[in-house]
Amino acid sequence: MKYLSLSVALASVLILATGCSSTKGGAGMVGYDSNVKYGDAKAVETLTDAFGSTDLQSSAETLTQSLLQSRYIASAAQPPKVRLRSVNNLTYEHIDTKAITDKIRIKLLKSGQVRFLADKANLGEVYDERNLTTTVTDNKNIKLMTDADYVITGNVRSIKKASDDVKDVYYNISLELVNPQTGEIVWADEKEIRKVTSKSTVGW
Amino acid sequence: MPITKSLTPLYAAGILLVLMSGCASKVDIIGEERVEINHHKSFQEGAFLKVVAELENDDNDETEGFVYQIEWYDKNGIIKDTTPWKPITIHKNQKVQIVEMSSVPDVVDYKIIVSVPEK
Repeated sequence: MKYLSLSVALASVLILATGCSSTKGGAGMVGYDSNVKYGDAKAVETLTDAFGSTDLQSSAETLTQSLLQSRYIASAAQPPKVRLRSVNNLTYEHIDTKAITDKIRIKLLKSGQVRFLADKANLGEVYDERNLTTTVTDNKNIKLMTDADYVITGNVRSIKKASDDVKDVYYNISLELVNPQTGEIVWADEKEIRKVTSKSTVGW
Repeated sequence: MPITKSLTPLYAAGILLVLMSGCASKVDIIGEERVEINHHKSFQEGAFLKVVAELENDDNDETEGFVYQIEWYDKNGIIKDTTPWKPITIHKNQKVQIVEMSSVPDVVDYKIIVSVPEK
């Protein structure tokens, strides 16, 4: 009887002790043992030859670096006001060109060298907000909101070719910085991307 | 005099260690070292830090495809930004110069990371 009570006490202690000390792995995670995993968002992705995240990131990076080095930005007395206009997708595939320009805008804003005005598509929203907050609309203030020093436009093009063994895709992403008062193109640059797929590795 | 003599190698070793750690911290090759970073340097361009590096594939037979990334650090050693991993191809016995510029201000240091896939 003595031994029984002793073993029951020991078991209770053991249960309590394990209950306190052992926390199962995976706290703060749901489905941690599933097949879904988080990856490096900046990793190079070559799952298909379609325009992908790597192309978006490298285009934005290259064109931002180039734009920041242009004398109209680098040597400006004060950060110029820029408005993003549309970048035309002239390829045969769906490419969200706004994703490219949005990424460039984020990078340029973080650089502190450029100020951005609201997109033309969003100007209506900005006017609405102004009408809510101001009773008298001042023409001078509207001018501040609408007058950009420069606008950014551009194009995305692609050329695709395929033989029996090889498929080749060439992308060209070009941007221009234009002075809207004079129509002068003050900066332009491009990012070229080539992707080659061998039939031996991927069928199409 | 004997104290000075015994300290001299210690100083030399210390300086060497500092120099080595300084160099090592700026370059990191992940995976097989089939690509070499011959030299790299940085300079200030306006508000931004610019890095130039020469990478070499000294293999006689193989074209190398790999990726690289630059990490940008502020004066406190805190990472401010990273470039996306960028793919690059170097043909056999060729050298390629890469030029990258930070797009955020207050960057004073960098690290070049090269990742070479296993064959």
